[in-house]
Amino acid sequence: MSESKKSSVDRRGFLKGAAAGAALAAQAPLAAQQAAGVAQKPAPANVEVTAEKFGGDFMVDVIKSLGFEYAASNPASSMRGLHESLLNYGGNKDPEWLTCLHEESSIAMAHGYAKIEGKPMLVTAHGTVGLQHASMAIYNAWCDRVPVYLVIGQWADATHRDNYVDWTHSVQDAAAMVREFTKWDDQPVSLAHFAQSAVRAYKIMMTPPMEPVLLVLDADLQENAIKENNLRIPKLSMTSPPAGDPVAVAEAARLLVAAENPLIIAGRCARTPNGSALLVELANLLQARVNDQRNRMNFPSSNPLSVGGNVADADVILGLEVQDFFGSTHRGGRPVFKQGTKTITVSSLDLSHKANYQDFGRYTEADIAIAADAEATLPALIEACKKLITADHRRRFEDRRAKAEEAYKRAHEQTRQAAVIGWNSSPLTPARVAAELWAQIKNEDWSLVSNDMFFSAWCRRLWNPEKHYHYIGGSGGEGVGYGIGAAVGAALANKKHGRLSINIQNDGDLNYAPGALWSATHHQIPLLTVMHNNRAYHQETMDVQTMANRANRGIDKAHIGTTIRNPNIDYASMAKGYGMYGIGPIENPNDLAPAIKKALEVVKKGEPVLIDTVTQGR
Amino acid sequence: MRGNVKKFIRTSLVALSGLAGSLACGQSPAASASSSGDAAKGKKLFIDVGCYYCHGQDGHRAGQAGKLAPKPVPLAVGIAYVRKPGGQMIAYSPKVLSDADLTDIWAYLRSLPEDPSPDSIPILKNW
Repeated sequence: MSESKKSSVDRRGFLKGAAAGAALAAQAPLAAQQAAGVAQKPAPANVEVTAEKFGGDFMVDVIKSLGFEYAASNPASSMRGLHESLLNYGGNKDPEWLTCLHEESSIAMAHGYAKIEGKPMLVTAHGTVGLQHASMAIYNAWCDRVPVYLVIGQWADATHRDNYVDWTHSVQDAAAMVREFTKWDDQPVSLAHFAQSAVRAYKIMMTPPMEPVLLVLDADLQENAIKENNLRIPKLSMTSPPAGDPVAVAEAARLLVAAENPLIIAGRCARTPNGSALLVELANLLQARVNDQRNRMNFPSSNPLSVGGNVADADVILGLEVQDFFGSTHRGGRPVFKQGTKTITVSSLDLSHKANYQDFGRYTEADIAIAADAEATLPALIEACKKLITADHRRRFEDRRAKAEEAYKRAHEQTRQAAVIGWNSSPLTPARVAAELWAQIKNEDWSLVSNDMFFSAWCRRLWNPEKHYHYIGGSGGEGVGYGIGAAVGAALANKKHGRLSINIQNDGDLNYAPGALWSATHHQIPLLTVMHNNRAYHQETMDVQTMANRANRGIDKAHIGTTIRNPNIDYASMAKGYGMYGIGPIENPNDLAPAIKKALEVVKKGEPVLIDTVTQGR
Repeated sequence: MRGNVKKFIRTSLVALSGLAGSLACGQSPAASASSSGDAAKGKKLFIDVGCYYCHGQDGHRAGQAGKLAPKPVPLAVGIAYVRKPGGQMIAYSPKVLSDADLTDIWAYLRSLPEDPSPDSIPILKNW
């Protein structure tokens, strides 16, 4: 065999040959196989399987140039070429492979990681079936405007599909399934094409509004020896986030400074820690109340301007990256604000639209609509306001501040009084759980890596979120199954910073993809998960109850299909099954503090822990 | 259907707060009760019928619904409200919950202990 012939033999050819040999061997009786030495048989001796470099290796070069720390992945035959290259050629470092037990977990982990770290994870998945599993989580990430970099594999050349599975896992346009909720996709046909598209995808993904992107990689392109010459990796030139038009920004400043009672509604305003700092600066400058929708950690709850933000009282409303501005300012299709109130929107969502999925909400009749990234626009808006503010304005602003501080004191006491309702109840109230946690973490560098909306937001109400990692917001698309995966990903991002990650985990959500518990254990990701185990899809229980009662049929069957009982799930045992330290179930509120103390001891050693707390509905 | 439910929930949030206040601040139950009711039966009804979904396992509230225990409104007021509620709650007809059932539930709610003061709880005292 000549040298050139040897090097032209591809890895896929070898793998096919080996698979065929294995299949033939499997058909023979075991004794016959042993007698023939089949079980011990190495690769066919006459096949040269090595080459200098495979397509997957070059892909790893490109991937490394983009700065990924991790690749969250469930293994797939159509991705085996890149998988092997990541491990051996790439040294399983930058990115390091994170073993995920479901593609929904892979994406959710990338989702949570990005919201802490501010940059994406690589995710690899099988084309077709892997992408189908991943699709719900991709939709969540898209609705939440979070970057996720997804590559999937398939065999593009139909003549290379050997069997039924190859065919059922092949598709003409793989990305079509998720194209309506990804920002960009491509299916490169050469390595040079891959390099171009990989860098382009990263650039597009990271330009606000940030959204997931997808590359479809031909398995042959990954597995074959490199035949292309002069391959190069394009320079990544990041796009600066789009800032608002100066004329529109100046007009917005004029309205805000002149307002008697301005209100800022913050949606996904703070992309980075600086976004929160800028929002605080603007609010303090104007002494404007802030209604933080907590899609991100936008505004510290310790600031008196964080309470009492009332749409009905406002005469100027500024929306910063608000997903549904209409819904935030209207009820029943009618404005909550008074006649004559001016509305201003600053949103990168105005720069990127899809048609099929309707997350854009109802059309907003803003007085000033600035199509731009809010965080990038805030410096100019702050400066424009400063130029307009006079001593008279400042006196008026000080009056507003005094009123805000009074309202803050009242709200603080109301929260304290509300927290004791059902204090000694069993099942435990969310307020009791949140308070007991706060008592033991308040002096730690903590990070709430979950949404506590279904916990009646008690963590956000009783804790003191100030830093960008103190709260990561929700799923975006409200698709169930996001929680544990996102928490594990966020906790991984927190790990290198030495932060204590806390996950309030809804029971229904955990059961969609609990394998993320194993990933946390396997990769030694410190994380305290506290179950919100109300043994139900509680909202749906109330919904069915409402429907049944409206029909005057009684509500004694509303639990059917909406509760998770009989048997009750033992989440501590579930955690133990995944190799995790599990505590509970905790039903007596007096048992909670010792359980948290023990859990924190374990987490501080670098391990994940789950406490099963049996809780009230909300 | 789903949209109606959403609308229903939205429009009733404001009214709910009023309900919570009226339930918690009513006159002495004993002054208006025509029957003391059976607290044990009331507890079973509270759980089986599903009051706890919104009001919490022991009437202390679970999220958006009103706080019922341990000082429910006078029985007659409570029955009238359940038949024709405001806010998010939907009406319960006598076919679903009789006056006798509601009397038992009312007795159960009255039997529950008071919540502690936040000042008596170290975690909350200096919060």
